Amino acid sequence: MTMSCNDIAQILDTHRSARLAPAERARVDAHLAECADCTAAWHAQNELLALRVPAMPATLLERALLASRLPQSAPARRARLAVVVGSVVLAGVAAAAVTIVSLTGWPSAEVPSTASGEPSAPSAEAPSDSVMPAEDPSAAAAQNDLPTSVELVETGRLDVIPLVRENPQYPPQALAKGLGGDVQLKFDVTAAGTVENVSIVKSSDAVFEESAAAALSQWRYLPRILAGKRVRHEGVHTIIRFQLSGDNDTPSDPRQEEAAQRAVREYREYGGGLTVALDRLALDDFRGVELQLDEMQAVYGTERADLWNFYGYLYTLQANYARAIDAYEQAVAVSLRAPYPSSGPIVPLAKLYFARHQYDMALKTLLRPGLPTNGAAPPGISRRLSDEATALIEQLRALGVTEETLVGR
Amino acid sequence: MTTAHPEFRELVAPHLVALYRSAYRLTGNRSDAEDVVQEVCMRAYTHLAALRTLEQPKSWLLKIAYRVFVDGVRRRARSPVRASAEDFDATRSSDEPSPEERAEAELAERRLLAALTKLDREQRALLALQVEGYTLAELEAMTELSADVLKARLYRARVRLGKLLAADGKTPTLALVK
Repeated sequence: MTMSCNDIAQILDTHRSARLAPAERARVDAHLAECADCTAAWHAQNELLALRVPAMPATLLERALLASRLPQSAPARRARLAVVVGSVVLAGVAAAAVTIVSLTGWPSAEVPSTASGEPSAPSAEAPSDSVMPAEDPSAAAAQNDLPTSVELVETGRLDVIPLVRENPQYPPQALAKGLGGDVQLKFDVTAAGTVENVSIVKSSDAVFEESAAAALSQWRYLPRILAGKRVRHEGVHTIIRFQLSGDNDTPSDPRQEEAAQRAVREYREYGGGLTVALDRLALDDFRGVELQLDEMQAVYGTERADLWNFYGYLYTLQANYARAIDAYEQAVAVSLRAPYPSSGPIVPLAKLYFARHQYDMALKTLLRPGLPTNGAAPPGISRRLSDEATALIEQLRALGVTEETLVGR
Repeated sequence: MTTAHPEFRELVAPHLVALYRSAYRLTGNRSDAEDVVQEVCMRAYTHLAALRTLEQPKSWLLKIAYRVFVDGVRRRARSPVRASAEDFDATRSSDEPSPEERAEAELAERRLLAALTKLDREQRALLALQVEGYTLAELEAMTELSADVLKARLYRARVRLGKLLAADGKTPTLALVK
């Protein structure tokens, strides 16, 4: 008695293929020997059965429950926050802008004068028609509580980006005089991501030094990872630029000012959430970090590059590289849509691809268009990149992967 | 911290592993599987009243998972990179024997996952749920297909997958550097 294709299908459908009696097995084999379709089907089923399914992550239940509790509210919050983020950046029109130029990543105290972010003369970008009337110090003092915008201008060899930044106070004396300026600071980022050993390298005016150093001491970083461990990172440099912006669109509308104030409060809340995650990270409470990030994502939406960045960092620490890549890809995608794209996730992402031997992806990541590029252009590479990125490109070149060999470019 | 209704936890928790396993088979990687699970929970939560009257919440949850996957709904927008077979996560739980066997198995899995991406979503979903051990009757309930249609589609999906695997057998799917 020979078997039909239907019989084979029925055996597969009823999960009996692995436990057939010898006689029945022989009849199956006889049919398979003559039927290419059934051979393919049988083979496919065996391969499917052999696929191992990983254990469910322990935190999935909590995360799923967390996601379940705000099914509708998340998109609304997200939309609102997009506006808030915009107003934080634009808040400079309400008062004075503090621009933070981070020049980080090398141990020596030398700031290369060729770096594109080298501060120009302090007053060069400060327009004369300042929004702060110098003759009205009380107004200046009141404005000092208003948001000063913190704008992260990435330059040079950046591989450490502050995650939580305390806004420096614009010194009232400087405001009254319409004075702008720069402070270059040197400090260490501890293995817990806090800032220590702050020292002033130089400043355009001593009036800014105290305020800059006080703010910087409160900043929090994602600690540097070296060989899978979080390590202290010494000799990090940052330039904080105090800048009066003289845009004409001074907010006369009180509602606008109120919105700006609210933006600052929400920014603080957000920073507080990140601080909780950083504190848990310092305690090696990885699960706690992930839950905190999940909760923040549920509230603030998925359009926050620094949340994705943090996920990428966390998964990297846990050696969960596939998920780390996924998270950093999200960080890049979100960053590209942001008004100020950040190259923050680029190098870690490229390193992950590199570690997984996906060299083409590593190079493509480093050369991804639309992201800010700084530093010197390595030979043969048509873009300017940070030192760390350049070093990685050199390693790729040693493996024979260059811009020219990239497939599909 | 507010949390989901405790009753929801009680109803869902016992079925979460089964849900995750199916989601992994559907999507072929862990993070997408987690997204499917979360999406299913989010939808189920809005139907808590219905959920508590069900005799078999599991098949209802799987039915949602099937729909979520076949409709291609993702909770998070994915970068296009995700779609390529290279990015499937081949890491698993740690009960593997020798490194050689492990490498072999890994390669086979990559090939399988790559071939699965070439099936249409429905074919892939049917195979995933069938292999996960559900009966035809259970599959009928999840997919709302008749038994005859279901059998025919399962067979066609297997044949197609088997042929893709045979054709692909000699092509390494690992990223190779030129």
